[in-house]
Amino acid sequence: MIEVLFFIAAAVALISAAMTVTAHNAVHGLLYLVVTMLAISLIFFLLGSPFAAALQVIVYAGAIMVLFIFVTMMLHQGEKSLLEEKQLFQISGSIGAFLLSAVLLVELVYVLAGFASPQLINGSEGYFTIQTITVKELGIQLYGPYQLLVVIAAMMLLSALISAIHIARRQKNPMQADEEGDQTL
Amino acid sequence: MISTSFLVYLIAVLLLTMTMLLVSHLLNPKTGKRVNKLPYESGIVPSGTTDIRWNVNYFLVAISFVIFDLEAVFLYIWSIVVMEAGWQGFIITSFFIFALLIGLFYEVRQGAFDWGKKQGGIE
Amino acid sequence: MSDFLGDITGDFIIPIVILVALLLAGAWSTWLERRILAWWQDRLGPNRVGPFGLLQVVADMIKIFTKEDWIPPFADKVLFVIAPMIVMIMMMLGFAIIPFAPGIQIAHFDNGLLFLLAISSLSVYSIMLAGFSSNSKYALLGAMRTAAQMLSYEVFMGLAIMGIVIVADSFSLSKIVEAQADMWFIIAQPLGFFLFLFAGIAESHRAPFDLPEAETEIVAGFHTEYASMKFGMFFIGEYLGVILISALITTLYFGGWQGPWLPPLLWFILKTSFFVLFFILLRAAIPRPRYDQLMAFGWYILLPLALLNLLVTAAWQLAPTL
Repeated sequence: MIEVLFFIAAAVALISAAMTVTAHNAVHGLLYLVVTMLAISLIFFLLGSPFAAALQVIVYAGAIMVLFIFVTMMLHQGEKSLLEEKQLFQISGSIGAFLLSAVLLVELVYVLAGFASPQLINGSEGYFTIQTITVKELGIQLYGPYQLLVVIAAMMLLSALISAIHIARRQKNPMQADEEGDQTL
Repeated sequence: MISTSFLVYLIAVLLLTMTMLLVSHLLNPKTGKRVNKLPYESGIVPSGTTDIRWNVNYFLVAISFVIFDLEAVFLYIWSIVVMEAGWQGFIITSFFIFALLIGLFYEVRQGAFDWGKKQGGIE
Repeated sequence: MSDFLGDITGDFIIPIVILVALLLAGAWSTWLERRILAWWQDRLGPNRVGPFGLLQVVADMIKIFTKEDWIPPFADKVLFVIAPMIVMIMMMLGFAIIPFAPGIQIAHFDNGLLFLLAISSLSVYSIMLAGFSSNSKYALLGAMRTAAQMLSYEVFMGLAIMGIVIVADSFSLSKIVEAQADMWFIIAQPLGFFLFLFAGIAESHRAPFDLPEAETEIVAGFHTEYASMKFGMFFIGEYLGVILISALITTLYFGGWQGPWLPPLLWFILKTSFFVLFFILLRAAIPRPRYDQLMAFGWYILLPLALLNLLVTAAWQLAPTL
């Protein structure tokens, strides 16, 4: 049962990832990416880490992708951007990426075929040994031996915040003075 | 793991929303030619496009949300192990929160959330 | 045999009954709001269809189902249809983890609160997609406003709840209810309660935080172009959101189904109804703030307060170990 669910979720993740790259409309592409995130979250859940699954949804699908779509909506120019985006993805320009991912696919199939051989499935241990990790165990680790990580994360988030605001602020620059009159909403 | 009742509920919710849309689609009255092929702008002929210049504050709110959401995730983990992590964990978390509060304070001083004010920029 | 029957009841009948009850509650709370608002404003409200106008909801439903199912030709058709579905599905899923009474709960997730936060972070998509797919200025303006507002208030909604998690030492809602046997968490977490209340009102974009739908400025906001049942779904979604927030306030801060004499389910419904009425009173009593005031209030005051609340709560819990 879990294997079946895993393969369905993995297939959804792969297909929507491919759709992300090939979608002409940027927002559609991002939505496929959200589906990929949700599928990955389901995989985490099936593999016994509900907390990682929740984080995948809260952080990736619920925060980072929201930021992406939000910014895309801000910069979207209706028909004009749709026309521009149509020309962004070309098969000829992405042959290299396709070849490299084909190598990965071959590896994946090889590995899966190796795993799926009868003796392993019927053997004493299935390839999904599910050990649920509770949030508590994770927290004890994070705020115990790995507490330095929390400090480093604090510094990283702080620097991210400061750089974000500096990217967004308008510099006092005479070249941009004519933009002052523009109406912003 | 996922209980059967949750799966039943999930499927029922999905079916319900689809049925609602389907029924409303089936009961859809056929109307002839109409002049409603334009976006609604209070009855006047719409002007301009949706290509709007947005205030940069929208972007700042979105990016601050991502950063503070990540911070919140660390605090979610901490809140379940407050007793286990003890005072040492408390001090670490205080530092964590303090660092982010500095960031927030800096953002506020830079006017990230001053909507509609003329922005001076960084000197 | 009785095991089998028990399984059927627990796995099939309870979720379906809860779903139907929620739909009915969502639909009739529109009637309740109109009646009570009218009463407070010295008007009559809908009182023609059926006793006390109770069947007004049925009339509204018939009307909304038979309206033209209009998808604007200038809209992004797929996203336009998906957007109202997301809000309904997310709000309904939120109820899955609410313990209505002992044994009456759809999903017993250990990490129920995290599930809830995940659901609430996904529900912002419905508004953003509605605004984007409509291809209309007012819809886009409304959607951007709503999205920015929901994002701002979502941050400390989670942080406000974490005060409860520290006290109850669990993410599971049924354990949180059980932990309130001696004392409701409103006493232990008064600040957290107010933070959650503000966040809840802003998340369900109800008055006074209903700037996304400020009719005086941006028509109807993100659902300007919506008609028929697709509009109805946003509408029901909003009322379900109000009920969900009320149910959460009850569960997290007011002891959930616990209470003397009356059966637990009744206690839960009574407490939740009280907060639904409170939401309606807010709409009748409080004017709308300006948008910049709303954002400033969230970021300048509520977010630091939520962080402070968390630290003070933890220190209070840790104090005996000194």
